[in-house]
Amino acid sequence: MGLNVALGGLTACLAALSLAIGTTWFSPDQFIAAVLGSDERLALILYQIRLPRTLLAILIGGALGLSGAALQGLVRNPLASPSLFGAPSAAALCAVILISTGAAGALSFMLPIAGITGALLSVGVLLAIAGKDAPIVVLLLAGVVLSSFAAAGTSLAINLSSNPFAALEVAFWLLGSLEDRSFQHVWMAAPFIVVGVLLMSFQARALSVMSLGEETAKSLGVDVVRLRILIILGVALAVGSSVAVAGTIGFIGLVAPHLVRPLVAYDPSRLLVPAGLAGASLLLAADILVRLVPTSGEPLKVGVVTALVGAPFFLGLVLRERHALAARGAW
Amino acid sequence: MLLNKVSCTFQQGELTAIVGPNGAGKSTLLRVLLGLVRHSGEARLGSETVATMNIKERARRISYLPQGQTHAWPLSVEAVVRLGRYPHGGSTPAAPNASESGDAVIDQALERLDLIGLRDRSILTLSGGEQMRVALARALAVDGEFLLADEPLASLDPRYQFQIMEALAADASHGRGIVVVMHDLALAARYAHHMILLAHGKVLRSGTPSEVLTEDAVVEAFAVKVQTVEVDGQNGACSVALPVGVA
Repeated sequence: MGLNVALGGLTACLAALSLAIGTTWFSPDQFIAAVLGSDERLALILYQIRLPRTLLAILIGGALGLSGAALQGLVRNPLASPSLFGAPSAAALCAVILISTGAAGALSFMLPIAGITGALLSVGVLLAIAGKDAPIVVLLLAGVVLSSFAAAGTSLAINLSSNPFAALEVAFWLLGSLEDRSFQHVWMAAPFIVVGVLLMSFQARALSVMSLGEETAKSLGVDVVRLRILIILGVALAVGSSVAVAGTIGFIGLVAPHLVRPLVAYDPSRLLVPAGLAGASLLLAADILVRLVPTSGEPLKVGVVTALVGAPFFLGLVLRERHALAARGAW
Repeated sequence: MLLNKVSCTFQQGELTAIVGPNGAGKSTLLRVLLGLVRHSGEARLGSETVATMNIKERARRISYLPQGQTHAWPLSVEAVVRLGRYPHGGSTPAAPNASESGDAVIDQALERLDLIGLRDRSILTLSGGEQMRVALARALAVDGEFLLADEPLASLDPRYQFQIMEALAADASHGRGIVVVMHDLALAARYAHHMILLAHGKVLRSGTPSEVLTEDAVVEAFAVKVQTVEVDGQNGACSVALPVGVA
């Protein structure tokens, strides 16, 4: 409980910072003036530009962190995450197909639906493979293949797009960014993220039992097939709709659960909420960072930052788990 | 087909040992009893069919210790044992004080397997024998009417083997029905009230150790040379045929 309060406090501090930082930096006085609406221009910046961006960082970071924790609990492995299961790339592919064919605009509710469908397909395929007691190596390889396939499909869609500006737009959006998002984006993603997060949270206790292995979990009354379906659905809803409004933001789902796991005594059921809060904090921090780093032209994309930090982190994790991977052939 | 026309009954308050050569269907029989595999025929608990029972209720009444338990995370010993309370609802590591009677059962399980001193240790730092004791304590924490254990003695040294069998026999004497799949016929003869000898998916013999471990039955099932010896069993001294070499 104390941990959740601490992480919640951290998220709140970063959120306040995220609201204060931008092209115009708010001083404490200006911040108060903006919040109270006594300065109309500042209030406009705060409520129409920075608040949706900050809310999306919290929602999406939380969705990714919690999804990562749920997937890791389900497959009993700290190397699992939505990205490694190809969920963001597949979600992006479906969204891009929709946009590049002109079937839907960038603010259509069809986008999160397409993203969710893509994520559902990739996570479903991966977990169907995992269900047969596949070692993690098989899962990771299958995830790499799915991600590459989805990425190739996305490139193809951009390639074939008749409008070069549309292609450029799609490419930038795929890099993962929270820039220039409005409340419309928040409403597009929030309902799906909330439902997905709730679906996963209700399975917390079963995830703890899964740590004893599938056979024991079944004997203890866990309906493993149902659990798997609910987690797939939860991850697809949360990650698919996140990608639909922010593009692919990698590694939060891997890093966030890992950072807080020792603080909850490695218990998968207690991990979900802290991992979500840690994910929200990480994405807020990354999104603040992209606004602080000076660039000559386009500002940095937050998806690029999380990947730059996350990839070496993942490598470190693999190196640390190397012995365990070798020792437990079943991995 | 792994099992064919197998019919057997298990009593509460007894330790039943299921023995037989590799591939005889011992583990499958346990999984049928739990309703974990599809099967024709019927497994009953009292008057109820196990396969159609609510899975939480079944989990509360029959606990299962599968072969080769692995652990995904370095949970504490107590947290692992506490997972045995899952089918009863409420008490998990997330809500350790949800049920006081659950806590009493957990303490008792830890105490019976001499794990009190290890309760805060990470499960992954324990030796094989200690891990098996934790796994058994987890199964005891379910506090069901029956406990089915699949080769709990595998890869344990003799001292730990005796320790586990003593714990199971003591638990049976407290009223639980214990069913153990095992390979060590001498230990089975010593600790079991009742034995079932499976071979090629069928029940070759069923009864007390001296009724089951006869010279011809053991020779037929295992294709070994045997020697008849006296052992100190649960029903007093009895003579059983034990393997001494390849036939």
